[in-house]
Amino acid sequence: MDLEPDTIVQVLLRERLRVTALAAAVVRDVHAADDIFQQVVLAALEVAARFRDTDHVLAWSFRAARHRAIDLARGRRLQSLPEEVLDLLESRWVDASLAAETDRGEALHRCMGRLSSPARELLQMKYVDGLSATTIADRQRRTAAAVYQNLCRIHRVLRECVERDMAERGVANSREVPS
Amino acid sequence: MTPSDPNDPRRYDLFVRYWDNALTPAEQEELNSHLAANAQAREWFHLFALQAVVAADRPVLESLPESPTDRDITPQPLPCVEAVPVTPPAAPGLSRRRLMQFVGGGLAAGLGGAGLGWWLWPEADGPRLRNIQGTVVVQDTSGKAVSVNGPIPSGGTISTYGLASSVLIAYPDGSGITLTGDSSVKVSEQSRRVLVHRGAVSASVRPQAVGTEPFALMTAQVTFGGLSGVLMTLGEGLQATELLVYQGMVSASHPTGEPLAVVREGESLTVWHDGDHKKKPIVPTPEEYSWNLSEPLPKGWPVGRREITPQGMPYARPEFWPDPYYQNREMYQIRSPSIWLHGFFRLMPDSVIRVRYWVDRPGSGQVCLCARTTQSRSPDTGMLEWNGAFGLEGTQKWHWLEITAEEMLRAPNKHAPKFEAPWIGFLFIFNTYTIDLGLKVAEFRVTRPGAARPG
Repeated sequence: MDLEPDTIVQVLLRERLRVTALAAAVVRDVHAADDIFQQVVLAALEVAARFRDTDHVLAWSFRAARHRAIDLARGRRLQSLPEEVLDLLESRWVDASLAAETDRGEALHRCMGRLSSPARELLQMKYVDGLSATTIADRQRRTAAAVYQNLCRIHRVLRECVERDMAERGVANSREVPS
Repeated sequence: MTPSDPNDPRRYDLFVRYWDNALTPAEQEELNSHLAANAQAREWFHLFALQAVVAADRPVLESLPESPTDRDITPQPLPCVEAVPVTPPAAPGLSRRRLMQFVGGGLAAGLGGAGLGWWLWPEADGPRLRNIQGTVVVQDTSGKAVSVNGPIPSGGTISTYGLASSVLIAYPDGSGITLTGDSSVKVSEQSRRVLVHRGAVSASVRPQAVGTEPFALMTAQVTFGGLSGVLMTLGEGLQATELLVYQGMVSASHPTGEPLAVVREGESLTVWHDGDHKKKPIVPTPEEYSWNLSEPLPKGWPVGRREITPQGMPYARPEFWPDPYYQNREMYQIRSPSIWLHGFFRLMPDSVIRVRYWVDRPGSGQVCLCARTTQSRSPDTGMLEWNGAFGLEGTQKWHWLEITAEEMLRAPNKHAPKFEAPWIGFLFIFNTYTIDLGLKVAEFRVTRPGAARPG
């Protein structure tokens, strides 16, 4: 079955967070991961004729994003995760249902909004501005250890908030197809 | 040490320092082993990566509105393992997203940012794409996709996909054209003649010097040439081209060159595909709306059919259609076209939505209203939803569904607009998922309180 370019783009648009997160986990640069996502969309359109169905598009896109991220990480001489670990991570990324990931992404947005201002500012410096902990420490006149410690806390608290938010809202998605 | 306690701070310490490329070889090996052996560690790592992306997605962060159940999250002290200070990695180069951080909020609206583009790429003598949001695709004349970061190919096509997508075509002289939602344009040499295939575009054209190549926007049925010192929006829909002029003056002509009209500041021009045209003052999207099913649906109506009961009453019925929200799973839906520019109706929280419907059998369903802000140049959108069941009060007869806009914002709606009312409804959907309930929709109305209620 030939998929229309619009269909391919729509599928990838829905999965943007997942694909970008996989790339970001390898290259550790959200902006570069965002660029990788755009490249994957373009590449998917170029090879549109080979896709059997939307699941095929998704699986292909994860692999394409991973390879591009690995190439970029090597170019930047970053410490990398071994192939077997990436295989396990990619498998987990691909297997997650869209509904569950959408719920988690939205819960994460809500939890981000509830963070204190200093916590949000730290996340902005780290993941928006791409500053290292040492650079942030210099700016805040703290130690890098203290910055890492604070980041640890924030990520742990966000995880707990997401788990609590999803539990409170229930597992069922109202937009799921009724049986 | 292999972390195993769910609260073990070691796990997050490894994650955050991995991100900084600050692990010692032994620590890297520890992380590798941990991720390889522990499914929960991989789960947490997955969420950690999602957190980084979501943190970067958010604009200069603002708090969500307070609610009775909201609690401030203040991280409690949790001792992470002391990290060893390391030499920071080389400063990352500038990427497209980071460059946008230097652009002020006003420029992010999509108009007026072209001058910055000229500063950033001084060697360019042609337009570039800026302020890319969502999915934007650039194709050359052969249809091959090319990078959005490079020059726009002559004769190329620029397309945005999805309601939240937008892009600015920024010209060296400070002029700019913004595409929003599902839009597509084709550009000429130097991109000064832009053909709008579909969707909505906004154009801010600086005063043009005499002797420069004329700036023109066009559709299949009308050309707006010689643009200079104007601010306008143009929508290419199913049946007509619509122009709104906010600043300056625009001359409209038939593609053959025959003059059609001069549209001044505060005026709109509609040119139907049959060539008929009408000029009138720009009026706000009305608060009252009634779906006219007395006439056949417009040619090109996306999803749904109009039929007539044996008694002669017209109604719309769903068609089986692949819904991209559900990964193209086919569902029974009625979907209107996207009337981005003018919208169908203006919603306030107390707006009342009424649907007269019939089902042959009961079942779950939805009424969805896609809404934008009052500024058609802003790509922000949201959804107002009714999630319920058709036919609870009986089948094989006509019922009225009545609900307020405010009620359509509530859970389980997860896509409510994040912007305040008024909301401009530009697309509506009736959905019964994969089950054919035999839904018929005879009336769909939007009113404000005090309007006549159905008998």
